[in-house]
Amino acid sequence: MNGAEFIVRILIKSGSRTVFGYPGGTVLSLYDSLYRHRSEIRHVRTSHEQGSAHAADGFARMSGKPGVCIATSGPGATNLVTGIANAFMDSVPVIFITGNVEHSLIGTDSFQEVDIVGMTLGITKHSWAVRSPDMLIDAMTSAERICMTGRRGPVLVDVAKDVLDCDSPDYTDALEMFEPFSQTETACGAKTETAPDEEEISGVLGLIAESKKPLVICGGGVRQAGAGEELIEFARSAGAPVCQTLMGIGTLEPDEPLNLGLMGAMAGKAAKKALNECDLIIAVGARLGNKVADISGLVSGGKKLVQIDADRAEINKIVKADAYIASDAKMALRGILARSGGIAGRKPWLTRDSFAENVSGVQKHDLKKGFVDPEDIFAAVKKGAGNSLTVASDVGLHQLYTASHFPLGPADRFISSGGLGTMGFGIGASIGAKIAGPERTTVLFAGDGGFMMSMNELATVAAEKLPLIIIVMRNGELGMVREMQRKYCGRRYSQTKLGLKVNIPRLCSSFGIDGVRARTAVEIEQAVKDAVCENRAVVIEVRTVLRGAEND
Amino acid sequence: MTKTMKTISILVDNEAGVLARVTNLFSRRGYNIDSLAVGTTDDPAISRITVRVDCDSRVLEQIIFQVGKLVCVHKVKVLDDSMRVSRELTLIKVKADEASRGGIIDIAQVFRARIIDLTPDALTIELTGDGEKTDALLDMLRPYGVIEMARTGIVALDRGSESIADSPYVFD
Repeated sequence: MNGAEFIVRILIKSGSRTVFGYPGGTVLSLYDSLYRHRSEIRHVRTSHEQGSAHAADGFARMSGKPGVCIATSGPGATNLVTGIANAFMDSVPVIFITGNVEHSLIGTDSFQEVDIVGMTLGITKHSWAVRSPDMLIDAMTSAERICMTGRRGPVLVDVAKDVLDCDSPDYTDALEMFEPFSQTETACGAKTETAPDEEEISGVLGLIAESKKPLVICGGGVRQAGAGEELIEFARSAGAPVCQTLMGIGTLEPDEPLNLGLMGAMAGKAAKKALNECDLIIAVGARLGNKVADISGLVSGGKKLVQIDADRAEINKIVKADAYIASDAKMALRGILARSGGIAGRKPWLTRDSFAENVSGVQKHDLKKGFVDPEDIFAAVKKGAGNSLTVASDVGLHQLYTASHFPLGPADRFISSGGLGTMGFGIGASIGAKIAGPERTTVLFAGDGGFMMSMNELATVAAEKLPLIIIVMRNGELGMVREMQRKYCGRRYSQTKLGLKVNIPRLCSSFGIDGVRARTAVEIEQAVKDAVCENRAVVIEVRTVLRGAEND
Repeated sequence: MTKTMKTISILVDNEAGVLARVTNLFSRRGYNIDSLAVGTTDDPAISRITVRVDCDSRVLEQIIFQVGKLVCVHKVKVLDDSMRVSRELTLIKVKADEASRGGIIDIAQVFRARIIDLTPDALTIELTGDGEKTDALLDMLRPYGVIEMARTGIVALDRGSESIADSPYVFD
């Protein structure tokens, strides 16, 4: 058995049924093995390696298992870099496998040689520069475990071509002895994953008991730990309303009175009021990145802070916590609930019901004929697409609109690039998400800028016959950047008016995908319904206006 | 918060690329390394990195837990300044002719440094110390003309029977 065959058989034994990638010179033998095993493992070839990386990322977010992405050396590997960084920033488990030049050529600037391990040191959870069968065995038998334990994240296995090509007698035994990672292991004290400490729990309970106006910030760690139910039970017992970060959206039911929705620039009035007036912030599975920390006035507001995070390094990183629990959200919340006698049954000091107006607080625009208001777009898509949706977004204003306006709950799955803010993430990610959850209607909201960055992947959507529903919210500008130019650059809109002449429906039809230009909410709903009904892909272009500053 | 010089010991796998991972982390997160020394331990599979960093207590906490997340890192210990012994080896090559040689040798003796190489126009001094002593010797030698020098970086151990095995920061 050669290295390539070993990799493919380990993946199959781990339960991977789909991998994403793009072939090339150094991974010839890997693709040869994939060909041999094509009835057991599906390979999805994208138009570009970045699309593969985002697809593996979307697959992992949807399935809760590692995505797998393969690329060749040199440009194949460097084209993955944005996708690796994206997965790293959002703690998504992906196994990236790259070929490299032959062992003897490494370090000689040979054709298509780059030091991809060196380039990605700061954006991988771990990586291996595999130059021998022993190292390949070590890498492939521990990759999934490292991805999935503690705070999740991407790993990179970079394999010299000769290791992929050559046989080793050790592979057979290693494959035989290999025990696939099982989900239950995540709870047994692997790296940075510990059960909550009783003293830590007491400290947190003490602060909650003192607090008159506690507020929960729910991040992506809650869903990753499968702790959505524990979170709402905790919030109810502590009488604390809940704001969500971009990564946390969809953790609570949209009609839950304690659910104040998205925090940040697009937060609704209730969320803003809560962030202003609270005296204690309980951040659960939220890393309090600068975008979140600034907004919540954590630095200057004099509020107390409790942090619950699986990654001990996140505690005190941005803001000093007054108490913390360094543990997985599920274990921590269960630990608190088991001892919450002192705080149980408190009345919530603020709920969304106390506000008559829409949670978003965004005003309707005076729209020209043929333009549709974003809220009407979301309502029409929701009506057409039904329940238990996978909703993905690209990056930009439409992303914040989707996160704050589209009704997303625990039955849905929201897939969006949070930490890196990668324009062009959407189509690749929704390809992966649809493959991981084929039974769900999958809707992608994209802006016209991000759509143009990644529309090459429509070829993949067509080739794989993926019934994706892609809504292009065409506002003709790079809205989020434009918003910053309005605020900070004296309204000099440098390069943010797109001036696209592209006919999106015709572009789509040349890819073999139905493209529709919808002028009213009714047309949107109908186009979505038709696509769902006929189980086919559709790209619906809608002209709209997105503004980011109404709430400022 | 006030910054002070901290001495941190890190036990890592003795493998290619491990030092790059640790230093990459320090550099990308903006932790400023004052001194760094690496070598194997009594267990050939494990290396010990001794790093000196000028930082406040918040950054120190970050360093411990960020470094601890690296798969190749097993243990981290912050060595208490008053409860550690530390040494650095320095080689200093100084211009020395017949007229100046005697003065330089006198200075070296005061610092308990050794002359390990001597030629008609230069000599090389070996000094073992805790870092500050090296700086003081260097100041004294500068007027004679320092040709070049090399420092190993500081290595340190706890005093007494306490060791890195007693560290609360275990990341296995």
